[in-house]
Amino acid sequence: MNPLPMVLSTLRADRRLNLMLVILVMIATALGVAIISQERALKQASARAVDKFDLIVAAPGSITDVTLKSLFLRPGAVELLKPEVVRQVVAEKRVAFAAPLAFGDSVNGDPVVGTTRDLVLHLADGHLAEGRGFENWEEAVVGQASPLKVGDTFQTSHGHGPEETTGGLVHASRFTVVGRLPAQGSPWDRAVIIPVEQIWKLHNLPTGHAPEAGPVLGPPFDDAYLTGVPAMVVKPENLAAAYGLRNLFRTETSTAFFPAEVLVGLYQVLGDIRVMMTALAAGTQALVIAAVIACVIVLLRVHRRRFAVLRALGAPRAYVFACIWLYVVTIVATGAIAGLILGFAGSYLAGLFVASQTGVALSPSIGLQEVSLAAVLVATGCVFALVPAVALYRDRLDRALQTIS
Amino acid sequence: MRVRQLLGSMICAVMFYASNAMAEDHESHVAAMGDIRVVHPWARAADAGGSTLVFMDIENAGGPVRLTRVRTDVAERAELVGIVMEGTELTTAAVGAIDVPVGEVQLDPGGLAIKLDGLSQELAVGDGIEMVLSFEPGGELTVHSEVEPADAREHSHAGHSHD
Repeated sequence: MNPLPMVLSTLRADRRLNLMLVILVMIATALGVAIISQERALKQASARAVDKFDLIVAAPGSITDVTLKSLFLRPGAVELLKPEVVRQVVAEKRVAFAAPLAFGDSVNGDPVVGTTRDLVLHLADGHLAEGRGFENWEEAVVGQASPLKVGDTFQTSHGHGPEETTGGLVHASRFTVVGRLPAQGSPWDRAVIIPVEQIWKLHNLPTGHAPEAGPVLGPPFDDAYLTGVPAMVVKPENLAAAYGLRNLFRTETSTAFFPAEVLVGLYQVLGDIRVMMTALAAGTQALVIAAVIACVIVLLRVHRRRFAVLRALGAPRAYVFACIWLYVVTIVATGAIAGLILGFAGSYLAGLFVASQTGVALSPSIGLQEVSLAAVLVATGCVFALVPAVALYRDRLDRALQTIS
Repeated sequence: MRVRQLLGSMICAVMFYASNAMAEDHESHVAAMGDIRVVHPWARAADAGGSTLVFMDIENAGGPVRLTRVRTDVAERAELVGIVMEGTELTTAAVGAIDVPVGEVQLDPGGLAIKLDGLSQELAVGDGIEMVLSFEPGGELTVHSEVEPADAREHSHAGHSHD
């Protein structure tokens, strides 16, 4: 005998209550799925965001602060690396290029980064998405998501972030956008990149070149006209050089680190949060399954006579068992599948929010871990579905027929 | 008088054992050969058959040398590696030899390390392992590494100095 018509009939008979049970399972599943999916998306996005920055040399202090300021372009102050260290870094033979970073200005709220052509071409893997790299002090390159177009001209405002831009001071220099970077998946997608010499000049600092040299662009810098910088991005010649340079510049006057070191700390925190949240979600799921089974037991008491009549008409006990078991499993499985979809949607929306707040592009996905979580929930439901199924299987026919439905 | 002598003897005995213990403690944290000094070597706890990373500070008061080879009885292979990130996972890449310029080289969880593969025994927190480091020029130096928790980021005695 096919139990499906009976299962569908039971589902239809109490459709509101059954729908509520499905929604409960769905929310419990979605919670766990969204947490796992979001953690993976954050890890992948942050790793992608720092991928092009091999080694960072900065003043001693918090490497997290330097990473947030230099790589994630967050407003805030960090200690400046002394000019003599900048000189040493630039002069190092094992360096393919060393690009100083300078901040302090913005264009319509987007950060302005002062650096060299070397770093621009490195970020673009040698080929800009549009246009070319800057070739004089009045040219700029913008990130993929910048509203500025190639050919646009603009002026920079002093300060970056709400605390620094309250004065509304606009610098005199005008820039022309000459190129656009490919997507970085990081806050650099909104950045406006100008020659570092311009940032120094606009802030009345030595420009890295003697005044009589004119508007020279990039290295070699004149030692006598170098200034302190928040950080330097260093591209070592090879892996051995990277470790050698990291060691060389970990001194009392500077620190050197791979951005991955900061991410490892972030991942540990994320992992701890994920473990805690997943434990909470697992507890919720267990409670939901228990609630579903309790509801089903109560519900089946109401339909006890109906199944007794079926048995009196000749339906075998196994048929009744299969009907009840399938009925509960259908509720749990439907809720779990809907939970996977809702969890992905939740993770996607959370990703959009994180991207709007930080500029880090997240790509949430549903992986094996999330599917496993839903599968465990369904498996648990399958086991606990035996409780009401066995109860009706063992029900005494004479007593069941006497109940009022 | 006798009580005073007895007390004096007891204090001397305690001081003797305490200084001995401190010397042993100091010895386990520092190993030296000529101008080369290895401070705070430590390894992460791991299961038998697995692998672990060993970290240390190598100080060099003489001319530049290279750490070329490591051997130990507790692992099938010992390799000089750099810690690199692949995707979102940390992994290691062989670096051949490690230059030890005048000054100091740190083998730490963010940079260089010695990787021990195929551990012949479980490394539990508090255990110690012997390793022989080969420097060129210089020779061989035996160091005693303490085992710290598997997720440790630094030696549990980090922060104090050894003169």
